[in-house]
Amino acid sequence: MRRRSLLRQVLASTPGKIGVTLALILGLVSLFVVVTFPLDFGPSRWSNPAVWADYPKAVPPAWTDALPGDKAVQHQVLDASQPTESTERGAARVDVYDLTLDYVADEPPSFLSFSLGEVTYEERPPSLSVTLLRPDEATVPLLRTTIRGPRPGEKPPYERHHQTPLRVLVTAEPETAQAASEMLAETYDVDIPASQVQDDTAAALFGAPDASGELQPLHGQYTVQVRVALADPDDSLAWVRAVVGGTVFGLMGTDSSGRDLAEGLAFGLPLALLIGISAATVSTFIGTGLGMLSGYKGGRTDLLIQRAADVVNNVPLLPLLIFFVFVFGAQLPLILLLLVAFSWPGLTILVRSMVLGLNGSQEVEAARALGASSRHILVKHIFPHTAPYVFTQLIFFVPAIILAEAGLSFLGLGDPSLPTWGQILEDGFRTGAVFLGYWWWVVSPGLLIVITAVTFMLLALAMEPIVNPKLRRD
Amino acid sequence: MSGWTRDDGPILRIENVSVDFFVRKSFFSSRPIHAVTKVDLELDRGETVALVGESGSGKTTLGRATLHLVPIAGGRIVFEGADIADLRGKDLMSLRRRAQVIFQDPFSSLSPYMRVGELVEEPLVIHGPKSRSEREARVFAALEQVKLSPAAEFADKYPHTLSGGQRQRVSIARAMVLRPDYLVADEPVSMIDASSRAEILYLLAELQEQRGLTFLYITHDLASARHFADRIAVMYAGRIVELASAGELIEEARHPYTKALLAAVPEPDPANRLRQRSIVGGEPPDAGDLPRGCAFHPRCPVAMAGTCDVVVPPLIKLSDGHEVACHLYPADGSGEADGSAEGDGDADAAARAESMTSSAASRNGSSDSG
Amino acid sequence: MALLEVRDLALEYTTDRGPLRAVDGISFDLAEGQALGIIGESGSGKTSLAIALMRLLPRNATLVDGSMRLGGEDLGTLSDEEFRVRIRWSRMAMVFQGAMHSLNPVIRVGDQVAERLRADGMDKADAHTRADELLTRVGLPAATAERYAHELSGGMKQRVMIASALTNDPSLLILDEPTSALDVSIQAQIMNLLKELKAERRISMLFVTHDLALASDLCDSIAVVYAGQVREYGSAEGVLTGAQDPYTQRLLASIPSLHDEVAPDFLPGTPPDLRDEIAGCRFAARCALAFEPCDQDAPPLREVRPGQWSRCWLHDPERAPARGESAR
Repeated sequence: MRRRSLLRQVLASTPGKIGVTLALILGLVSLFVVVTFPLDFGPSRWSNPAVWADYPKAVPPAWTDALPGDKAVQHQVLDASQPTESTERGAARVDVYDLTLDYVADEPPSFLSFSLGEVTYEERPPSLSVTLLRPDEATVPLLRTTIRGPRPGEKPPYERHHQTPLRVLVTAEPETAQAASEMLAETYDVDIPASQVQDDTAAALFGAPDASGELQPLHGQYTVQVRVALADPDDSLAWVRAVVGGTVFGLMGTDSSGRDLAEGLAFGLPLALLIGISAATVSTFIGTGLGMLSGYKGGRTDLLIQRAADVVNNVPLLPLLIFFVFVFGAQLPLILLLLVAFSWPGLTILVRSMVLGLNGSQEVEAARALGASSRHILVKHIFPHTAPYVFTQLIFFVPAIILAEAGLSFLGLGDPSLPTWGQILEDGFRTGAVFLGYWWWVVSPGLLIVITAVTFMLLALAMEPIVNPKLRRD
Repeated sequence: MSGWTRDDGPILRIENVSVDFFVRKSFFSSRPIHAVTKVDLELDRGETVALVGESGSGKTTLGRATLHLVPIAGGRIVFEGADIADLRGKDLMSLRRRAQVIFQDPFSSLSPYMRVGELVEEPLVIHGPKSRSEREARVFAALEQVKLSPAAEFADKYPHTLSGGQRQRVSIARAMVLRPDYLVADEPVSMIDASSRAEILYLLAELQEQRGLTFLYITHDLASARHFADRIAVMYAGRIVELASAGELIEEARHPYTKALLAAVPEPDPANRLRQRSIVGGEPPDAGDLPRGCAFHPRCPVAMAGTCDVVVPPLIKLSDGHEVACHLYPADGSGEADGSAEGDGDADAAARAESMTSSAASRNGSSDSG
Repeated sequence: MALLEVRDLALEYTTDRGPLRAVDGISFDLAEGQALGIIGESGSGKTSLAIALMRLLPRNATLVDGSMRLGGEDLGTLSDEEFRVRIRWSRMAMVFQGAMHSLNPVIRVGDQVAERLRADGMDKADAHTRADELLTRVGLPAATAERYAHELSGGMKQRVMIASALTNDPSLLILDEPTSALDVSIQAQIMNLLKELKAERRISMLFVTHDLALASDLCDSIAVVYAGQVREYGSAEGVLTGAQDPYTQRLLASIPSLHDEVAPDFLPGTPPDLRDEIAGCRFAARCALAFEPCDQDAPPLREVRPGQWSRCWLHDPERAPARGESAR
């Protein structure tokens, strides 16, 4: 079978066209992910809370904003590494950083955070004050602090926040709520106690009371102004950042830990394909090999393999998996090993019965009459007849393995450090995503699993008439 | 034992050969099926011997035995001076190269996944030569020889795109590419349209003349055996019952079974429909449950009680090469098996034959005009 | 009036490479109590013709032309249900090729023969009595009804199929290669049986086969079919001893003669692919006697002598080559 004509024939049928298109898309995306993502994405990024600190928690995808309803807050990261203004007073100076944003949404941001990094000073630690300047000319002091001073025994230059930035979740601080309450009282003559503001500090920071005293979003330009007082000319500060937490984020939203689901799900694609294809291939290989050996040799070998297949077939896989996970912990290689170890009997039994029939065929007899060796007969005269079924079986197996793994993860038996789709689904259910209405957390992985499974099924469907020469069109 | 002697004797000697198969009767026992029983036959170089018989005659099994494809339970088969049962390894491969087979069904003996060129090349891949171009040259030569021309075009096709006759030629090319000395043709044309059969048989005859091939032509068709074989051996229930040159067997058949077979062959005569064909009733026996004595006696119109149902008739040589195994032609009166029953004189035999005719004919629901 | 009158029957198979007209304008008559042989090789359309008569065509086949009349009744006017109840297996029955392989392995043979009777409402005892009768009539020993299919030999199974076809006393029996898998001696037995049944019950038979010699053993008239068309049609005497058509002549010459020293003939090449358009005579490519009109014009079926038709330009006095009388 020439490969080019095989592809052409697959593309001739409708399932083939759709299947190949989908497979190409999946393949290209996988390739892209493999190339751009770090290989230890799971532990180093996905499971690392520090990465996701400044991400909004449990927000829907950004494109949902286009749907009718309240205008959402776009997630904005405001960086500055150079001050807008710098005033010198002798050796000391005051650097002012202005981080501006336009607020046009109908709902308050999910949070406001401030961070800075890489402070170096010679003698006296810098001090800073962060203020929010509102479009209604009111101001809210957000933060007033001094960088930590030298420790006993420490020598200048003193370095602070070079590994870990200084981060303050402004909207979570009680002081901010207090300051906001005071600002509102002063500017609008309303009395909203700090404890009430604390419930949604962002609403107060970015809103103004209406006639009835309800806080409504205040549109306009806001500035987070950072004033840093540095004592020495060599003192420096690398960057400052304000993050306005969006109420929507990214292509697929975020989960309750703030993790970008698009990243997780994207990584899940090559992972799923790898799991599916490798396990399916190994399983098919074992099943076919044992089946051919069993059917061709007969006798005791046959008996042994068949009995083994019977035993394995009747072992209840799920309790066994639970047991192994309990004892050894949930690790993907172990789970795959078990899946492979228990999925080969079906194919063995099928291949064996085919080989038994073929053994008595005229084709095999003719080959024997030519003096062909057993190996030659198996490869050239027996295997090609089983190949259509074996190959189709392989393709069907891939989604089965993917679904099995997803199911296992969903039941909590999966490897939690790896963002497989099943694992993401499980996280969602565990967190109660369904009840809390976080549909994007559940629908996306589910849909991806289905699409991948369907792709393989379509390919298998398209392959079937092709690998069976009796159904071939030429 | 290596060493192929090329004596001027027969290329193939089948000496007292029996082949048994075993069928499981129960968990503890199996019963033997005597597919071939004590067959003696010699094939001279360059001749065609037809093995004619119906189901259960053992003709196919005997053919396979000569190719070392089924184990022999008794006797020996000597090919080119060597007992084939002793052959191992390289010598066995040598046998395979020199003794080839053409099967009945040209479709199921050819792999549908291989192109014609690959199929014809396969024997060369197994036996050598190693050079690809040399193999290709021989493949093309073989295809041209069976008149599948242009060879390059046919080599690229798959068998299912060819007609039955063309597929059978591919099988022949595949057998011929090794330049064998002996060929078993097992019903080579029975699955081909009647109007194309002679073409294949003529091709085989041509190849035989060019190469000095010896053929064992296995068939149920006496008429084609007459035209394409030098000698015909009629088999029934695992034994040869008659052996003679082709023309003589047809015109001067001796054995009642041979006569029955001849009577059953239809010729295109419009008068046939107006009369019942004179035939024997019943069916060939189950090879696992053969009748005592002569296997044909339950159906034989001239069976002699006390002889035919007790003693197996030996194959006797009559005038110049015509051999027959029937108690109607006893040579020395001794036969096989138990009992000392001897053949009576011919006159008595004929008398018994008369009285046996009607009773034998009314058995097994045959419609026989007698 | 003949029992079966077929006129201009044409049927097409749909294939991915276009329609295949497997039967293209076949006509014949079959009188009561007579047997007609439909002789053709593989791909001639003879089996398609047989199953078309029984309305058992596969889904990709359609009757595109022609009519079939059984006992004067136009079968085309009947609905599928009517046909199934009144015609199929009642007035017309068929023994298929390889029929013996269609016996149900888990049901006793007697029950299978009685199946149609039971379906038509006959009570169990009567149906089994009749089944036993039929099995005996076709030459099987008494206890056969109790047997299972695998216990019977090929010949016996074929007799069962014939018995099964006779359950409702059909006036027409179609037989498609009924003896092809059987030994020669068993074949002769079956042919003798068919001859008896034909005489005894005055059943008409349509005997489809590739074997002209075998057909002579039963058939009163013969139609030779090639590439979907009738090439020769006439009485058995006329066709077998005085074949007019070159194809028939070659077919006859291909039969190896048992007693004659003349070596058998053969036809080189293969029948044409019916998906392609064929101008002229369909046999011309393989015909040794082809001359100039053969490749361009398709010859019609013409009555060459009383009661015998042939489709060949050699018989057209206006077109025949200047060679005197056409041979044979």
